[in-house]
Amino acid sequence: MPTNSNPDGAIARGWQEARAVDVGERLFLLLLYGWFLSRILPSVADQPYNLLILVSETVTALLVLIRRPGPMATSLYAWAIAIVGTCAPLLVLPTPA
Amino acid sequence: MSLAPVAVAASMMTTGLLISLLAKAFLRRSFGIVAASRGVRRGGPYQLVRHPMYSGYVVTQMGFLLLNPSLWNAAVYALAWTTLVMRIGEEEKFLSQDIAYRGLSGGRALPIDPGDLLTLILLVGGVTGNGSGAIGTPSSRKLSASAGLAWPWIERASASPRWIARASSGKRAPTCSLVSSIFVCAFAMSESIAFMSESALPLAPTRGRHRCLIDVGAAANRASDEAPAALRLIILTGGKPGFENMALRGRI
Repeated sequence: MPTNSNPDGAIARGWQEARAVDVGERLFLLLLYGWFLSRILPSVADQPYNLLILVSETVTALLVLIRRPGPMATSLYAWAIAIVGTCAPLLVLPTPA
Repeated sequence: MSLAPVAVAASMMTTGLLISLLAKAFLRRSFGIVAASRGVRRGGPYQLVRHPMYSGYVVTQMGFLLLNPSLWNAAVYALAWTTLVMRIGEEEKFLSQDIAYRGLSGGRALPIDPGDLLTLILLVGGVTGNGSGAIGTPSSRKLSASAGLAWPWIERASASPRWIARASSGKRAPTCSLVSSIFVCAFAMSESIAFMSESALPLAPTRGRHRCLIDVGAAANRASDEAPAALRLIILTGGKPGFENMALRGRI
């Protein structure tokens, strides 16, 4: 009894899983970006230069959303450092000017 | 409260933003957060530095930290910069599977330079240690930050065959200069944070008194030019808990 009787089906499932992870990652980033925006945007009135970090993180988030698909690293380590590295800067808080 | 003149921090943020935007313009949609192969880029800043976008991020974020200093922000960026180094390693590993990328570096992917890695670790240690006042002794923290600052020059001065080879290929020199510039800024920042934390430490055991000072400070900010008179009144009358001794001293 062959274990991989339908290779096309396995490939399709693998592709769907990768697609689901990809969409999930973008949604997570979008949520975190929304939170970042809600904290930084009000501080721009006091500290106009905070607009620069806002632009920097906005461009990053935008490019993640429209990036080109391609073969990606699948290890947990690669994903963990990528997510922590991308999301951590969105956790900063403005301080009173 | 800013740790540096606003113009300095704003210039850092603008420079970093321009570097990262330029790198993104050359990457276009080949951008991603997980190590992936979306084609090798050779143009623009990628001729000089292997990860110019990350360099831009660090400079921008340092500027933001100078404008918005807090232990929370310092910890957030320390984590972000540490994972950034780890991501560079992972990307190099992944991209080395690409024949076009291997061709760029003479048959193998360029590893992270151990000197730059050591510099970053020492500086992050120095900055977080100084910021929290909790890691190591003051001397060891200063040594850590100083070593991070000095390393690029030590490496350059050593004039090893490796350095000469890389410098002559035109790839190493800009990287080293950029890294050095970043660390000069980081060192200044860590020293400023250290000064702040050392100033605040004596107040830590008497939190009530500290809180009272913060309230008075906030009231002073609100009252603008009336603040000094109001502050003198509070101290001399001893009307606020924690100011009794000062009031007594004032009367004497």
